[in-house]
Amino acid sequence: MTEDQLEQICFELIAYAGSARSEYIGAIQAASAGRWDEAEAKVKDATEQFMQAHNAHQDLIRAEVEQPGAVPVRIALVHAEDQMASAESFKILGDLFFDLYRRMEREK
Amino acid sequence: MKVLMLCSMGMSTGMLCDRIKAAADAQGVELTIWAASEINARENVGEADIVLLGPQVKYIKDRIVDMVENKIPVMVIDMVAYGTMNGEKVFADVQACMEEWEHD
Repeated sequence: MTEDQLEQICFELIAYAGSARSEYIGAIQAASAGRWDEAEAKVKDATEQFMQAHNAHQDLIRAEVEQPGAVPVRIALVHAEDQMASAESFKILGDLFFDLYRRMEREK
Repeated sequence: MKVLMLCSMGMSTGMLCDRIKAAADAQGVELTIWAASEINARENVGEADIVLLGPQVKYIKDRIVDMVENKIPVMVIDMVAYGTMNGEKVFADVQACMEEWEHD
C-alpha cells in the first residue's frame, strides 16, 4: 500500500465515519425535540454511512493480515479510527437516549 | 471571499483548504480560506463571509447559525467531496451557496 492510497482511504474513513457520527448525534437532537421521523431517518443514513466506513476499514485490516506491517499508522489513520469508535459509541448511546425520551413522553 | 472551515480537529480540513484555494486560483477568484477546530469557532466566525462544516461536525450547524446570528451562510460540505478531497466540487458548492444567499 502506498502512502497516497493510505491517505485516500483515511480521508474516506474520516468523511464517512465522521458523517455517521454526526448523523447519530443529530438523531439524538431530533428525538429530544420529539421529531421522531427525522430521528429515524438520520439513524438510517448514519448506519449506511457507517457501513461504508466499515467496509473501507476492512480493506486495511485485510492488507495488514496478508502482510504484517503493510499499513503504516499515520495520524490521519488514528483520527479515522477515533471517528469510527466515536460513531459506534453515539449509536449505542442514541438507542438508550431514544428509550429514555420515549419513556419521558409516556410519563407526561 | 473569506471562507472558514470548521471540523473536529482542523487537520483533514487543512488539506482540503489548500485544494479549494487552488480551485479558486485556477478560476481567478480571490479567496482566503482557513481551517479551525469547532472548539475555536467563536473566535473565527467574525472574520468569515461563509462558514463550511466538515461532515463530522454537521450536527453543530444550528449552533453556528445562531453564533453568526444568521448573517452569513453556513454550509455542510458534501461528504463524498470531503472524503475524496475534491477542492473543485467544494469550491463550486461554495459559489452556488453564496449566490443563493445573496438572492434571498
